[in-house]
Amino acid sequence: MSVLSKPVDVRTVVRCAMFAALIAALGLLPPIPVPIIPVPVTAQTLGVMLAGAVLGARNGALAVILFLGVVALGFPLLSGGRGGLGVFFGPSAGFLLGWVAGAFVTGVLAAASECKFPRLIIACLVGGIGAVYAVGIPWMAVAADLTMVQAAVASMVFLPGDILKAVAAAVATRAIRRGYPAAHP
Amino acid sequence: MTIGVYVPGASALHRASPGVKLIGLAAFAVCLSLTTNLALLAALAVGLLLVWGSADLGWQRLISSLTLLKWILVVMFVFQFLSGGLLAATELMLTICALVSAAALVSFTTRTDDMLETLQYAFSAFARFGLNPNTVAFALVFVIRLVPFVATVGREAIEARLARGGGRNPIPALVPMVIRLMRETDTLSEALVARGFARP
Repeated sequence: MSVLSKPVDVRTVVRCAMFAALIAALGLLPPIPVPIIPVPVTAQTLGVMLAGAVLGARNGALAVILFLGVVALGFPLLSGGRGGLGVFFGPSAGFLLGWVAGAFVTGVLAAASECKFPRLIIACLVGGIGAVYAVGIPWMAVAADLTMVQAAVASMVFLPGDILKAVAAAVATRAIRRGYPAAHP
Repeated sequence: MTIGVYVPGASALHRASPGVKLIGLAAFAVCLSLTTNLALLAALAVGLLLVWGSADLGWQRLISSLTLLKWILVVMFVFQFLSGGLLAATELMLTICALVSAAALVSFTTRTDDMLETLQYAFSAFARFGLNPNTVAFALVFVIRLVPFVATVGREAIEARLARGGGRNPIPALVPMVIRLMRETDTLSEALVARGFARP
């Protein structure tokens, strides 16, 4: 319950809601087909990494939880117009829950990065890919009765797009922190 | 609120309380995950189809909620077929499809307002840990209110970049967009405090 030990003030609520809405709005963008990469890249996980890197670990994770809460209520805000409780019961639901861990880990590492660019990229890679896959792949292995290796292989189609997004998130985070220093958690 | 996946109707499932439906969904999920017998699985799936039929939602919705999964289902089927054979692969497909459509069924037949109210009630159990259920409900509704706003700010950021001679690439527009969102956040917080939302 360490997340809840600090009282939540108005600004925190509004910031988390704003970033949850940002993650939703990024899902409204049509998926971008990128040459060489087999699946179209959606911008939604970019919002997850930004939430962690800009808002910090705790608030970034809260923003993702809020976003998932709104999806669970029945609003079709996941990319591709998916929503409702169904998305939390499929074999790829672990990746959605992994977003919470992803935003948190990105936030922890980004706060320690002192805004140095290579460290920000590492923060987005480890948080936005490492932590997300660390939840998503075991979930898929259990839900679809695969071995971990098979689940990992099946997830690899998303890796190139996620790497592009992690770099984009790091570039954007550095620019945002320069342009709005008060955003620093 | 009509932009959710809710489909208006008057069936028994529509009229059941959201709490009952959520508990039913959880029970169904537990039953499915504990069952490995194909006949039992098929019985559960037929039961689900009967309930679906009684909700008067049309079969097109069932098909479209499952076609969203088609690629992942193909991958699962191939892996499972190679390692466990046809029977295991069929069982797995049946389990996943039944689970996803049961959850979709709850969302199709429950108004988002009712779902929110139930969630608020469920969260009141956490009030002793310092989590105010009203704050949670407020934040969830606030997100829905902010989505069109964020989309507008994003569109304006892309248009502003186009006017400056930039391309349509949304990534460079993301930076002024987020900075503007952060500024609006401060304004909104002040407005909320001014209206007595000091201590949620």
